[in-house]
Amino acid sequence: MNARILVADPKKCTGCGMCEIACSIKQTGMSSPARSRIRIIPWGDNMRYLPITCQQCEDAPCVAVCPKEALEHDHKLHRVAIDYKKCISCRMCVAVCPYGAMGFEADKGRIFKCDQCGGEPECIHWCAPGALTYVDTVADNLRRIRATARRMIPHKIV
Amino acid sequence: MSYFQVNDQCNGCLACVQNCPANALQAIDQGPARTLQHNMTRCARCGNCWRICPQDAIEFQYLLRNKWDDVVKLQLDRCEVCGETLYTLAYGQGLASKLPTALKPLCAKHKAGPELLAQTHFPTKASSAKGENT
Repeated sequence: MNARILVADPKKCTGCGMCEIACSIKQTGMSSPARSRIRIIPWGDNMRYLPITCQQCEDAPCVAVCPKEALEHDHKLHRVAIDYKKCISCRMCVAVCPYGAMGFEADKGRIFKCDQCGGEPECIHWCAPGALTYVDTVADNLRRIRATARRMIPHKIV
Repeated sequence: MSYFQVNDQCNGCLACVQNCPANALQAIDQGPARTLQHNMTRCARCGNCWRICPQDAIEFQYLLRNKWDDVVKLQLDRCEVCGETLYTLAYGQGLASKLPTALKPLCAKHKAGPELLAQTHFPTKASSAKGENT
């Protein structure tokens, strides 16, 4: 079986914030959207929302800057994982993530990021409009290739 | 920085130097002057010098002060958009040296990633019109 990845579709997102609550309860035991590994950003004036979580980058900036090699891209599970035994909480990954997907819990003094709940993402079960899906990486790559191709081809032909 | 202070009652008898159990005090006689020196790293703040001083010259209260010393002062990098404090300039330069692309000082709210996602999923009219023409 191929690795799976959490995919968020902003076109379907209604901005209800259930994923943030579900995530924080599953990950920290308290209902606190600030500690959620997924964030909803209201975008523009047209009631648009961007659900943002770790993109599990192949060539991740967080992995590149980590001075203690505490972050590593796990190619088998297709995700960037934190090794808390190595992490020194310097927050370089937090500063460098282009999506702002890496967070820092001040009271615990440690960083956090989406780990896709170890293969069972909680947020997807709470997303009423179905904007969050946990899909096969190969299938998702094909979907992305098709979507990009559709954008490249003039609309009159397709 | 001076935690160990003596007032003008001190006559340089060096009783404190003799009785310091931690060897945190020493005196140097050079030329016409005698200099009393104190080493804060060795000092255990036991108060023996203060107890022993025949002149009541040692101002021990300064050794018990809760005082912060400035260690280093560094320039800060702030978010280009909102001015939120991010990190120091040196920290930012260290990050940039490890990345293949340039790093703009931006806070979590104004990072480039969400903008990129928005452009992909909600193309503006200008960009879609451009797509039609090409």
